Amino acid sequence: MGAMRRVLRDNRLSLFFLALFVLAIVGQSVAGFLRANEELAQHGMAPQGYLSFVLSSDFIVDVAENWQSEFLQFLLFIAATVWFVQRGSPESKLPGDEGVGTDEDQKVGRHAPDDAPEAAKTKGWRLVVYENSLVLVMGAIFAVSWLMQSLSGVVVANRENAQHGEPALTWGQYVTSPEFWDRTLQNWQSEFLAVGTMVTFAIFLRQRSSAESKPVGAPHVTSAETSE
Amino acid sequence: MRHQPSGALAMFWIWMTVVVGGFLAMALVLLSGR
Repeated sequence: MGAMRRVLRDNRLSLFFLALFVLAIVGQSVAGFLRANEELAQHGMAPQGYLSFVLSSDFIVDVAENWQSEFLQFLLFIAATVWFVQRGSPESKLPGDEGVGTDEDQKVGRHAPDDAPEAAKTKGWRLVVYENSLVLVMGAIFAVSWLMQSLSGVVVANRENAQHGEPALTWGQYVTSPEFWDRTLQNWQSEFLAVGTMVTFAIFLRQRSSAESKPVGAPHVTSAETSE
Repeated sequence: MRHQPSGALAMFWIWMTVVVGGFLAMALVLLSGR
């Protein structure tokens, strides 16, 4: 097999989702653009161009509010599975394994093998940063996305307020407004529902050969076997 | 990264670029007041 074909095969999962992401966000931008122009027409206003819509707070607020909730979902999933278990779920460690584990289990410091990431062989703050780097990065993306949602949301809300002759909101007023929390919580509830169902359904249900499933014949009560 | 190129590091940076690039684009639009 050629090197290029091997690289494509080895990374197909990432590339598959990259293609889906590009298609979906382009689709969102086109649909949002058409909808925005429908609303402009209903108010007797001239239509705007596609680029003008994509480079507007209207598009950003819709993108950012979904980004923040997805990254919050993974942030909580990654962090909560350190401390909480669900017996029988392939997404969980085994009951009794709660907590951050020993340096030996985690192969850090003097327990790090030769081929360990260099940061895993360190100690002190560098090790603390690396051993929490997934949560730190997902958390940073969540925080920035939520900030972007609020900054673009207040622009959109104030444009509507101006059209109705109402006073403009400050950022502080917007992030305590029902609209901000409506946009935020409608996304959060769906993420928490999806995680909760995934964790529990996967105890009893199977997808043959999926990395997210136990083997079809595995008993219901076993947790992920990789957790020892 | 002394192993043969697997593309995994490229995938990491592609996705990181998507996120960071998205944020930069958002910031530019917000700074422009649109």
